[in-house]
Amino acid sequence: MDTRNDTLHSWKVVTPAEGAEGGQGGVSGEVVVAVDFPVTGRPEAGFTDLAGLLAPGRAFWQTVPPPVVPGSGAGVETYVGGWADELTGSGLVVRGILGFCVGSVYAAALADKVTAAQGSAPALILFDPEPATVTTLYWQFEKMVGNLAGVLTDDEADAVRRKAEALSKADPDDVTAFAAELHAMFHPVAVEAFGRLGLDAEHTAEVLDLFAAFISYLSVAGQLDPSAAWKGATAISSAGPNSGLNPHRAHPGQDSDLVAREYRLDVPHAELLRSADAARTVDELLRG
Amino acid sequence: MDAVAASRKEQALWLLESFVPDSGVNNLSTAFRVAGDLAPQLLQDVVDRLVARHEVLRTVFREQDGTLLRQVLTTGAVRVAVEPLAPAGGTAEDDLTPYIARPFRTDGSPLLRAAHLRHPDGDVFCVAVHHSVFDGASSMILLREAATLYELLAGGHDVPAELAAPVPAWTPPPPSEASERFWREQLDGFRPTDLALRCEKPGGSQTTLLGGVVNHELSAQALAVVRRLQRALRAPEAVVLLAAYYVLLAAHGAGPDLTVGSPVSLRGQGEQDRIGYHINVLTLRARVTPEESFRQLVSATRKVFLGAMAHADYPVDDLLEIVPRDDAAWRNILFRHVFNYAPMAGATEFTLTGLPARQIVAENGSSKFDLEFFVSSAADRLQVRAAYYADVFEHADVEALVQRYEALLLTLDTAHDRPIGELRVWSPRDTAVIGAANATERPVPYGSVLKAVAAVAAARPAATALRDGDRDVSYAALWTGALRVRDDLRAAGIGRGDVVALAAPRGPELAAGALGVWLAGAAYLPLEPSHPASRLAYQLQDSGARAVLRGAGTALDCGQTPALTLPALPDAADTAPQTDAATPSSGECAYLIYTSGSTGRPKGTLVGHGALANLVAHFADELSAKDTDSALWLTTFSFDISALELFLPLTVGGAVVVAPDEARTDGTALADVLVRHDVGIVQATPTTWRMVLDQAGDRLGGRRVLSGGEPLPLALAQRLAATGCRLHNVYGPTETTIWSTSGAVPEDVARVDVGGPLANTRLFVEGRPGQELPVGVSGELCIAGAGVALGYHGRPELTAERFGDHPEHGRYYRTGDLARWLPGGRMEILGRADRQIKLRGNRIELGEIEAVLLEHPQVRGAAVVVAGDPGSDAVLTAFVVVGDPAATGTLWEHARGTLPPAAVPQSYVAVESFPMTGNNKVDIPALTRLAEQHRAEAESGTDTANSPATAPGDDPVVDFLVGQWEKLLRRTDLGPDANFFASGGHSLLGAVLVQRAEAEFGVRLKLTELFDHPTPVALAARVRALPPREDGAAGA
Repeated sequence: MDTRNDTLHSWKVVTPAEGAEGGQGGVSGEVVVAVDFPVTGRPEAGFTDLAGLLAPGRAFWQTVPPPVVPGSGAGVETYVGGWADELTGSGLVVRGILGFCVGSVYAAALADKVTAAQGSAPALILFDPEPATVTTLYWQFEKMVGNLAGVLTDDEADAVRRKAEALSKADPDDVTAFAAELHAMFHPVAVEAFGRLGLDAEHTAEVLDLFAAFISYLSVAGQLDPSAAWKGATAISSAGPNSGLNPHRAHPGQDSDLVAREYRLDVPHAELLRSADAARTVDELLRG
Repeated sequence: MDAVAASRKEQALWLLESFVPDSGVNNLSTAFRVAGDLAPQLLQDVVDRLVARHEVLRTVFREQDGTLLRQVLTTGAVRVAVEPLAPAGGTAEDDLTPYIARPFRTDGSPLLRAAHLRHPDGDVFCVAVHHSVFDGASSMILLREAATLYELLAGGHDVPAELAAPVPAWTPPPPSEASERFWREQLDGFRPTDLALRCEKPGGSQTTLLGGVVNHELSAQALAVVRRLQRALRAPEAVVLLAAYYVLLAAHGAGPDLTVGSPVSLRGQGEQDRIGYHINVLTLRARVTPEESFRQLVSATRKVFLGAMAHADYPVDDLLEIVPRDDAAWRNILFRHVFNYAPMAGATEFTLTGLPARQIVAENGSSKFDLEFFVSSAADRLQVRAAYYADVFEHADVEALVQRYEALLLTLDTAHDRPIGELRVWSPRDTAVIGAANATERPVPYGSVLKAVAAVAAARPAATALRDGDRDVSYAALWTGALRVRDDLRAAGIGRGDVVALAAPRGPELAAGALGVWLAGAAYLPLEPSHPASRLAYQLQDSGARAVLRGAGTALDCGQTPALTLPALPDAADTAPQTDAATPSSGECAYLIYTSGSTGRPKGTLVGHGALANLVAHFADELSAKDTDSALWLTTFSFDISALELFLPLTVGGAVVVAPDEARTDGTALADVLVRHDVGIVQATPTTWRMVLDQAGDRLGGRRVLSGGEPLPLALAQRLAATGCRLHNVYGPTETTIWSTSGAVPEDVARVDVGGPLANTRLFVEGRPGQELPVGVSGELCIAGAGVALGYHGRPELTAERFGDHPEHGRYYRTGDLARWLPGGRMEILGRADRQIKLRGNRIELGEIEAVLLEHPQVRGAAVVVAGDPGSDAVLTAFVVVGDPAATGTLWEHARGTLPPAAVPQSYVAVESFPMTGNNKVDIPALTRLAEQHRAEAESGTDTANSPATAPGDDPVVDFLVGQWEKLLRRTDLGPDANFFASGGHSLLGAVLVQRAEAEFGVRLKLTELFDHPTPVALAARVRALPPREDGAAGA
């Protein structure tokens, strides 16, 4: 069943509210929203998993990121503006804004807009928040190249890695530019390699569109500075050593000072949004 | 003064309140009462001076940009007005509780308030203070200063400099590195999962922190023992009492690796007068080993205790991160039980302006720990104040804990060198309650049922023994038939010690068959002809049955076993037949009956004549069965409880009324037979009762009704009891002969139990092997006494595993059921021990979930199973029989409202009925298999009803896809349920896969369809649902 509401384009209704019709309204009049780049079937748990574990009563929406290509000029407004407009136009009170990984950056910006519009601040809850930096994007790209072992030849993979590294050093602070150059560099290599696999143009385009949208999502977040909003936010961290706040601690084992408070759960990163403890913590934070 | 960031210790206090707002859980108080009036103006003056003097009382907290800040305000900035408080009708302590519980805030407002309560017993002055600026020791300091100031001001005296001088807020010195190392080593490897006591209430869906208190002064005898132990074991009193607390917790199921929190003041020599939050709660970890003596535990505890005291400067909150957390987010994970020991405070009574005055200790109504024992020690007494968290314990449970603590101390007087595991930590009340419940010895009037029936047949040959439709069969006819059976068997060479199978519909011939088998000295094996042939063949072969006695019209493949036909009974026989035949001894086997184990092959239980006689005689007595009575023979004979329905009336000279099979499922048929023959006694399983109640309920009034064989849900118990019948809930495994407990269920039943043990039956609840548990503590139910079966047929290893010999209770059977004694001496069954599972660290009782689902008005039956690996990916699946299938959608919400989150089933499947075992019990293993299948289908999004076969090799589309999965992911271990992305796939490989599937099957598939249907089985269903591609063959 497609639960997406007819009138919503940038949100997917994961849980309609009690007494709601078509996913909006409801007896509580409240919604909790989550920012993520959800790819169904990815190994990491998503907000649809978390939503199923939360206390009932509130609607739960998740972002639908726009299908944007890096370098197309799409900026923060393309993302946050679209989400905020539909959200504030819904008439619902936003009780909490959740973010996953880089989604936490957008969540911070969205929280500011929602606060201004409704006059009260929603709870900002970040799951393994990741800053949108050149390093983050490079690391995600590197992971993807690793996944393509056997698709790219060793020479192609080496070349792509070298070029990506060079590009990351050329623009160490400009994620947007890095993303556009990365996309431009990788596109022809991918088309050729995918062709060798026997993938037709249609399917090649499907994969590359997805890649482009993801890179764009990761990079446009770099235009935002979430640090002020994060200082007032609650982080829920996994035990993954390379995930979220874990690589950024001043001292190992200490709570991060990037956020107001942090709950550290002993679950792998991929399981964080499936964790009953995470859900309980969110319920507690949204209570009252 | 500047605001500074709050310490982690302070943050932890406030964090707890953010989880449970308005709880007042951290509020402390100082209060005293005088036998007279207090002057409001003087009280205000006292408060003003205290606030002006102590910086810490002017400390406030506020949140700024998500950071908690602490700040000391200037003298003029804090004004605490003494509030007049009207008495509310309770004791002064009671009246103060809501006042103290009123929450403080982190909004920059003062963290103390003061009240003047004009109580009938005398005026009370109370100061309530938040823990972040206060502690237990502060309370005494403040009391002393307040009383002294009041006295001085009332007398018009000047306040001396030492009471007027400002006291700066004091910060304890930072902890040493050595202490940090010490604590990290102390807690290395600790898992907080074994701290729960087995008398806790099931988790609720809400956290309240509501608390309660039990106060108890230890007896002079216990005091003397403690002092003796102190000398004998050469340990401080606190250590002896703490070690006993560990034993108490372990005796209730915690540990063996145990932690106990213990608050300790950080004030040094010169800082004894400092008000403030100057305690650390030390985590005292000890291992309670059952084989070791209390002496050894005391020695280890002393070392732990003294080591902890020497490193008390390190705050507990800094340790939280090193212990893995898998419990509720708010809960302290280092310990759940607290032990506090202090010399009894001296000046609790004093005089004020010439009036007698005394300190009063009022509670805040909350508790953040499950249990806190505060022992106050004086030369002549020991006082225990047990504060508890009311979501975890009932008041009575904590009273019992305190009683057992005292009893334990008394035991230790002479037992401190015995292994701890041998100590029975029972209160005198436990001993009395359980002893009275188990005092069930009474004579059994006959050694065997056969003997009792023979006596009836001799005395009243013409009386009706069985009524089957329109046919009445006399005792004489029944006995004559039995003799014929005996003769047939003898002719076939069958005699003492042999097994004879009985396969016939319930009726006079089957009854005569059973008696005839006994007359031949053999044991019967009841077979249900409608059961699967393989099951019947197994039973015949395994039992070594010498013959099968078949009903005239019964078709049954007897294989190699010789078959005999049950003879028809004579039509009219009313003269006394020969009844002086030899009867079996009580130790000989009466019947052999097979039950399907939860795993493995069915096992045959051998039940002796004495056991059956005891059971039947008990119910004849409990149900006041008379020769004018009739009982309904309703249950299929291969289920052991059927024997009670048959033999109970026959032993008292009453009549057996044979019910048609459909009466088990059709209420109208049941009502007909009940009314037609005026049946007095009827027995059935809850499953049957649920099905027949609508039609037959109004015919049950006045009848004696037994329900057993499965847990009786509360709602059903209420409906049954409301019919006006005399309802008995009975419980017992086949291995202890049909039933072992019975309890009357009153009309206003609020909680269903199984009553007490039957005659000559003793029950005990076992924790660790050999550990008998007291009232209220759950463990495995064991049954000893006359009903214990002879053992399993041909399975000595299984017999040795399940049956034991108890030094006190004799031979017994381990039921595998979790149970606990109730305070009145009745037994509550909490479900199968193997149905209590740990799911991702949470202890979950599946039966409890079922009980909650059954409370939903549309749910008629519920069975919850676990599918998957409980350590990782398992889900709870609830199978439900519902009146309206649409109700299934509301069950998650219903469950969510009552159960703790971890116990809320993720999946709800409506079924017409449950698969049943041969004994008419819900077949849990079958449901588990169904749940696994459902889960795979749910993950893949296919519709259950239309899903194709999924076994490998059955489905070419699935087979092709599994092959592609393995090729692309370079694996050889994948099956139809393998998630492409969880198995190492990514989008590009997915695109390749989709394209190959297109080529193979001639459809157009999008990559997103693989995202939505990521397993071979799911994608296969999708492929089938798609129209053929218009451009004919596939691309590439």
